[in-house]
Amino acid sequence: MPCLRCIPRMALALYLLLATPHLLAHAQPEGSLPAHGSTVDGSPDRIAVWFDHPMRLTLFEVIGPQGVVPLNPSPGRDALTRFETRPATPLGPGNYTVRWRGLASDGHVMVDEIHFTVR
Amino acid sequence: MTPQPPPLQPLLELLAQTDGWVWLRVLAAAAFYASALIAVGGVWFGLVFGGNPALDRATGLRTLVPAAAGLALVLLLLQWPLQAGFLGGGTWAAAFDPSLLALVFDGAAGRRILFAASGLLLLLGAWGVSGRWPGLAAAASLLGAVLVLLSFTQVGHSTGAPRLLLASLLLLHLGALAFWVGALLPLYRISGPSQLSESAARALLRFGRLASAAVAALIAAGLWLAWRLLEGWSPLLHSAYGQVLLLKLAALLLLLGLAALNRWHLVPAFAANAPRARQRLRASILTEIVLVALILLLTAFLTTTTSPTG
Repeated sequence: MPCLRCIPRMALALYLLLATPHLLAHAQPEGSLPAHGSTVDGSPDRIAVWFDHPMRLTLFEVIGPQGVVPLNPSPGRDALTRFETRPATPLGPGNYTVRWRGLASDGHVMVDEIHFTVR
Repeated sequence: MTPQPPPLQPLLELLAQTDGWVWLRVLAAAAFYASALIAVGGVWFGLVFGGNPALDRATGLRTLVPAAAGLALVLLLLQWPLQAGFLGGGTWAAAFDPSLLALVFDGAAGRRILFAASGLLLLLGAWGVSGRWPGLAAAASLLGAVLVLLSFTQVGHSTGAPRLLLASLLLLHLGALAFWVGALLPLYRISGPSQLSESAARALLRFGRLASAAVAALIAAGLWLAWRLLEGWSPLLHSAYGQVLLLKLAALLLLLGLAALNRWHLVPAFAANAPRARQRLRASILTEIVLVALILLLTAFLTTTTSPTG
């Protein structure tokens, strides 16, 4: 029975795993404004995304029927849990995509897309 | 009740979204995992099975470990601009943007680079002085291998609390994995020359016993981790992360089957000098190497392109 001697090691490994409630603590997006998949009446005055842990945003762009939408402000490189910006000019009717990329504090690269429609 | 997407749709969508830049990051990560594990595992192998000059020469570890460490160092440094480039939108201009490079370095990823680079340089340095100062070379190799493993604890899940427990667990996991992965090439080499059959058989039998413990711990930890990551078994079938993980598990099952075949049939036949046992065992080890490469590629794809929560 070659595995009998490894039982204590396996038990230790399992104990260590079970005793780790924050094992899966990646930063994750918690929500956005406008919400993903939503339709809004008229141009939204704010575009925002927020996270459960600090994130350093490196890219945040809104792409619509006319291409990339100018934003004010653009994201800095500071760690934040909420980023909020405004379109420099009102958004016309159409489908829009918010693309962001960022670096979580645990070193993971995060990326997401949010889609919304302006009516 | 939320309707479930058709089978494989999440995986196909993920593949459709994976651009060339991401594939570069995946390939660089997989190659780094492989070369770093071969370098560290080579050190373990030398420590456990070293001492027989003929066998030591046959393993080729004196060139394999520094070659793997050198390749891992190049890939580690390549991952840095690749990550910066992705963060900046997937362009070469972003890859060499000093502010993005500094951003990546100023944090967990930077600590990982420092630990891994120090460890790999120590492995290379140990190779350089091994002829003149073998004792110093052995100590530097051991320290280098530990630093490379520690580098993996600087990023990702193991950076959460309780830090010490998580880092210890990950070290145990990676140390066992390196032992297994790093032993495959030396075992393949020593099983070749017929004049080494007796000492090679002893090493193979001993490796089988030691690997059983490592594999059992890896399976237990892996299954529990998958369940925790996915918060149940349903996402295993219905999320992109789960579907890639299933592919990885399928490859792992095949690998375990081969390992069991070696342990209980092919190695005893090799030790007994049975007809064609040498060829069968070497073919089986080669297949194991291919499966390990596939598993590392899937792991790199999993960690680079998706997360358990989508």
